Amino acid sequence: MGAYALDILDQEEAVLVEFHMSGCYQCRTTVALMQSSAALIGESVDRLQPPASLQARIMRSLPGTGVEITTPAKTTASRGWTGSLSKVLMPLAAVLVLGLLSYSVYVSTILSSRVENLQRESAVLTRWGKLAAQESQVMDRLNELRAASDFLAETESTDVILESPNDSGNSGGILLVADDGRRAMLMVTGMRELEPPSSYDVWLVRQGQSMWAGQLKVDSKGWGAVTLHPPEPLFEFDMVRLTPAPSSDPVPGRGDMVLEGQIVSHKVAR
Amino acid sequence: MVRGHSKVVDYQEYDDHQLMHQVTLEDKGALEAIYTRYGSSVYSLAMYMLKQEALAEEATQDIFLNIWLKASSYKTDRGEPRAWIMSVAHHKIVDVIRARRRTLAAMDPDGYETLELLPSAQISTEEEVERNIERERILKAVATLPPPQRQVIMMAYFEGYTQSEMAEILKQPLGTVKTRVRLAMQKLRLVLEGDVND
Repeated sequence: MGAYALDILDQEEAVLVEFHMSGCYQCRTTVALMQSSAALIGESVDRLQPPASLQARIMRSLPGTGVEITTPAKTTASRGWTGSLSKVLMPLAAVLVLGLLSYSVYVSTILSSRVENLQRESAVLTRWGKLAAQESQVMDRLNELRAASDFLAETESTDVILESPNDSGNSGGILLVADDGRRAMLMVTGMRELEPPSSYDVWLVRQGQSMWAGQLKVDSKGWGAVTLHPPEPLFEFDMVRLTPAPSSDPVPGRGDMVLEGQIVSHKVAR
Repeated sequence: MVRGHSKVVDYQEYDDHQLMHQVTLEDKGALEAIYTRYGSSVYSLAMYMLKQEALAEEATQDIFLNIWLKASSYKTDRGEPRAWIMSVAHHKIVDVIRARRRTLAAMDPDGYETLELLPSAQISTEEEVERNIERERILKAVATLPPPQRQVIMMAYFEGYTQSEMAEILKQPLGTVKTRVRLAMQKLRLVLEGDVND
């Protein structure tokens, strides 16, 4: 956290710290104090006055800041001359107006279609936002999506698809493995939510031997995600498997509760 | 003066939180007030670290543009606005340093002994006294750090070196550098929490 406050972490590490802080009040408080310390270090240098013009330059550089132009009052000195000129300009202006009208109708049609799409997306996002406000666990999922988005943006990764071995149900998942195999993001969907405190165990399998790699909870929508940091590169293993944790309430016919996927190293550039 | 309003707003009456909130509402007067309070600190830090006036001016301009654009990302539970502003400033300046590391003269890691205080002309005496007291505390705290810890803090903060880079420069294991950074920041944090007697 001290290194984060000093801004000396690698980008990967900084993302992990920010992800952690988003859910940890104590660490946020600690980092805030450390950043205050760092700010005081920064303010302890010799104080210099910036150039007087700098403030105006900053204000001019702000988005939307334009230079005001005042138009001079119109004069009537050329009234007689404009009469004949208008005979030429008026038809030209009419043509221009018609052209602009046609173009504006075309653009308006395109924009209307785009607005409708955005409104549909907005409605979905609004519904999603309401759910997030009502269910704190959904906020955790949004943070996980953000982490996944950062993961996808940063790394070449190998994708491992997880499916139910019984080929039943709608459950599935994807494991995104970083190029060095030391980090991965597992996301699942269509899973049955288990009674708390139960969750799913993530196993890495090699030559029939299973190694526990992490735990994952799913929400009421069957979605779950977890970041894995295995002690060995993931490519050293043959398979990844998801099973209900032992303390969960057993339910008959839960073939769709188990997922597995073969780990094959092939990189996908993002 | 806020354009378009008949009432004159005195931003000096606003505290930093209120000013930040106003900036999120795209109140340029509020940003000007923040510049009045912290422009000197930001510019001074930029000059100290970049050592070139043109670079420092450009960096300061970019920093306040960032403050304008990212004011909504400031959260009150992440500390005081002042710390956030200086963090934005430091982040930008370090970016410039890292991009131009070859052209900037490297400072001797042992050359951070004197950080003198000069009064600012734009803040009230009472505020200046309070800030000087806090700076004295942090400077004393830094001075009391063991030299290896002080060194990494200064290299990290004023030179923008990452922990990996410092390990390479100092020819120390990365774990050692990380430990020094962690211990140093913990001690400085204690100063702010008032656990260290002056």
